[in-house]
Amino acid sequence: MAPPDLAPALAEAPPSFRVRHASTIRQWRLYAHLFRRSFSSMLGLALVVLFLVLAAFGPWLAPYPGDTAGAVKLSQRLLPPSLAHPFGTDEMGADLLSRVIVGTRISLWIGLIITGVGAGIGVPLGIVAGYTRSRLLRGAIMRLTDLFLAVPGLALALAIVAALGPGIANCIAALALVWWPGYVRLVAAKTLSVKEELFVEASRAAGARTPWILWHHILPNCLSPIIVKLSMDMGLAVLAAASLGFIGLGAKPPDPEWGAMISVARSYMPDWWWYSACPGLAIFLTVLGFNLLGDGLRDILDPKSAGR
Amino acid sequence: MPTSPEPIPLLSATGLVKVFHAGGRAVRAVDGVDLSLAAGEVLGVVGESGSGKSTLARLVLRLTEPSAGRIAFDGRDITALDGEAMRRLRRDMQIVFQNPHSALNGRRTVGEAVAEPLRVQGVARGAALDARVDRLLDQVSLPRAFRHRYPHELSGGQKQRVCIARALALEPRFLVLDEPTSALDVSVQAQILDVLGELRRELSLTYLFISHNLAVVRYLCDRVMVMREGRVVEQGPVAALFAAPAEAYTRTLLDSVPRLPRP
Ligand SMILES: Nc1ncnc2c1ncn2[C@@H]1O[C@H](COP(=O)(O)OP(=O)(O)OP(=O)(O)O)[C@@H](O)[C@H]1O
Ligand SMILES: [Mg+2]
Repeated sequence: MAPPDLAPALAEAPPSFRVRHASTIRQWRLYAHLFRRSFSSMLGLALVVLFLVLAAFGPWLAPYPGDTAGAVKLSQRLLPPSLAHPFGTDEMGADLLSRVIVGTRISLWIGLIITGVGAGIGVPLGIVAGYTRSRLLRGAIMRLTDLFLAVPGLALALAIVAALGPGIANCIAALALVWWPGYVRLVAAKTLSVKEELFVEASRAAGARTPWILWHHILPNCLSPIIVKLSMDMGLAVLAAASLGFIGLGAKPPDPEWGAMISVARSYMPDWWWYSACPGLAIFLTVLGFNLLGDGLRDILDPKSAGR
Repeated sequence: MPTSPEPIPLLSATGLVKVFHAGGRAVRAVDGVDLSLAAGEVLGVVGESGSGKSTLARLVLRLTEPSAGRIAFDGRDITALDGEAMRRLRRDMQIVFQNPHSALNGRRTVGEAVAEPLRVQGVARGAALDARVDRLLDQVSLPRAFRHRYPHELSGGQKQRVCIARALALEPRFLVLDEPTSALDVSVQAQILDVLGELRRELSLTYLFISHNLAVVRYLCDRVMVMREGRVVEQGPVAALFAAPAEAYTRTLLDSVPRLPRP
């Protein structure tokens, strides 16, 4: 549909990637610089990277990969930490470190699905609630959100799991269903302020339709707080899933899921303390890592809200 | 392209009213304004801060819905035009906002900002779009390499040039300039005004030029309209109005700015 008077692009060489994205590269350099200066951010990043590596390559990194499949070695039951078994063994004689390493993948998947589904539901609802001019629609979405927020998420998830029946899939579904309201709040508030920006009106003056504006102007400007919250929530979701596993509503014991492992380990306290120490430490470090990372990201991406 | 003398104004508005309800109080930001702009004409709108100039600009472009009154563009009543028809009409009428610092999305490059009108209106894409963006940057005397930059790397004057390029992208016939230089340094103001003057001659544009700088109005406008508290208190040809203002309000406005020699 181009008018005929448009000359074809002049025969200049197209600028290289580095030239075209010089501004972006500069921006990322600045982010990296700010991030590197903070010890806690770097610690968070290191922990998150560590767990991501364990999740990706766990079966190859674990010293006794066979032990996660439920091998029974009665001669090695409940051995204390030693060089061969740095975190000891469980009541089946399985190496605890191996089980925890292999369990990383399950825990991170659970966290990813829960936060992903939560954000996937919450962000669109939040954008709609923030952008719509219909008081009714906004009111409906926000009231529903308030309703969910009024009940503690874990308690609601417990009720849902109780209704659906225990199991890891139901546990994930229940937590995902209670995880979205935080995103609605966050995104609706941000959208309400971004939509008053002049560039949104400029876009409308150019003839942009609402979906275009939401995608190109509103969402990109909401992204920083969303990313920060996603990181924080990853840790919390892992913890929540482990909690459900611990009380026997999530993953079932033969699975190397951290919460389920601790739930079995409970009956071996305190004489066989190392049994619960290893999965407990893994949960603690995951939550710590994602929280520190989120905090660090907030400091560079969204410094204005740092005090909240 | 000679515009034969035609009786129909390019833009006209009658009895425009905009009432804002803020904090339980009704503010009549625009209160019964009539205006008419012939093709190729530059109408200046002056008035103190809060006199309703920006609101008037938004009303004639239908960015704000009027509380009362009618707007016609090119002989066609557009007061009740629906979303899709209005969207198409926006190719012909564009705006440059008062504050270039907030009129550009900080997360989008200059190139994306200038290309946006062309993309949302489905006018150009691919290589044709790139060529057109380059040409628009040329028109406002910005280096082509700026298309890869983000707004925060630009000065105020450069940002305003980007906004002008964006407003020109669809080759509109009518441009609203809402105090395009008031957020800029004095030295930069003159450059922007030169760009606007040149573009007007080259593209035979019609401007609604809002300003509270009377020297600037005198330099650029054919006719001028003086607003106060949402009403037009006086209007007429620039030379006549500046030489012999009829209203006391206009005189105070005139006296409150340093006089510049006519260029
Ligand atoms: N969205 C709005 N809601 C409520 N009141 C508004 C709104 N927009 C403008 N007003 C009010 O309308 C009046 C006119 O505002 P407007 O922005 O049109 O003035 P202006 O002449 O452009 O001023 P300036 O020279 O400072 O830009 C002001 O009293 C302002 O407070
Ligand atoms: Mg204004």
